[in-house]
Amino acid sequence: MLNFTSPITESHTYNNFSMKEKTPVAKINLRGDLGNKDFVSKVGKILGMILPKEVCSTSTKEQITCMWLGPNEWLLVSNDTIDKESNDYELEHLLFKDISKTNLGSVTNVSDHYTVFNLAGSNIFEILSKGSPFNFDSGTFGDNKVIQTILNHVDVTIHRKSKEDVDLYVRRSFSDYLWAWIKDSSRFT
Amino acid sequence: MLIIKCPYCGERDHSEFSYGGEAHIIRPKQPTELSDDQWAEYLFMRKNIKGIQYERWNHSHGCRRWFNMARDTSNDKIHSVYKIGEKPSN
Ligand SMILES: [Zn+2]
Repeated sequence: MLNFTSPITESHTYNNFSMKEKTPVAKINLRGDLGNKDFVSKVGKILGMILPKEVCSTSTKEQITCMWLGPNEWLLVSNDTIDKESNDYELEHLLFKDISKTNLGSVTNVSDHYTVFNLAGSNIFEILSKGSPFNFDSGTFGDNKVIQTILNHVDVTIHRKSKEDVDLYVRRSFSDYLWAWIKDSSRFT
Repeated sequence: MLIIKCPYCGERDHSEFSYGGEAHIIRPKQPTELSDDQWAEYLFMRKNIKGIQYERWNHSHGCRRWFNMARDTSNDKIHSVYKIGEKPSN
């Protein structure tokens, strides 16, 4: 994380809903072809797990969570935190050496691209429903699922860890705006 | 509200998608050998039919993948969705 100054400076609680910004961690966008055995085995070896193939699913192992974004695209979130002066992530180096350099796929460090809000409470999806066209009651969006949709005109990635624990990824430049909107919305649920 | 079934993500609201024009238009192999009229024909002329039209769509606020759709332009009924490179089923 370089020159890290977050637009979010507070945490927010209203009744039983609360939200806070998560400490910045390593986030890597990975793209490649699942039909390519070389790609699959090399990624499997580095991550120590298989990339989720099923729509909107995630897989987690110790430090790393891997989220399905598309049939050939994943978001890797590691619990690696580093000091504010550096932008070096070990996971990125490993993937870059074995995947990018060998033209098996693409590896992009998006750590500074996203701000992550952690939402907690029993009415999370009621609040999100106010500004999103996604049907949170459809039954397909269970625990450990991840979706990309729109929240009050902003593109977001929503990771449901449980009904009362959700991570929301939003582009840094939109985070201030979305924070204000969620904060406002939570007051009327 | 129009619900579109993305071939990768499943059913989503139409506001997550963008329209990409008529599908299955083949780019001329040798553009330099075409007359201006022929090139304009490829670039601009579209059927614009009333009835079932084959179109390209992009799930721009979801998985960001392109796909094709057979849609009736007179009543917005979606007859099928299929992946890029595939042929329509009907
Ligand atoms: Zn999709």
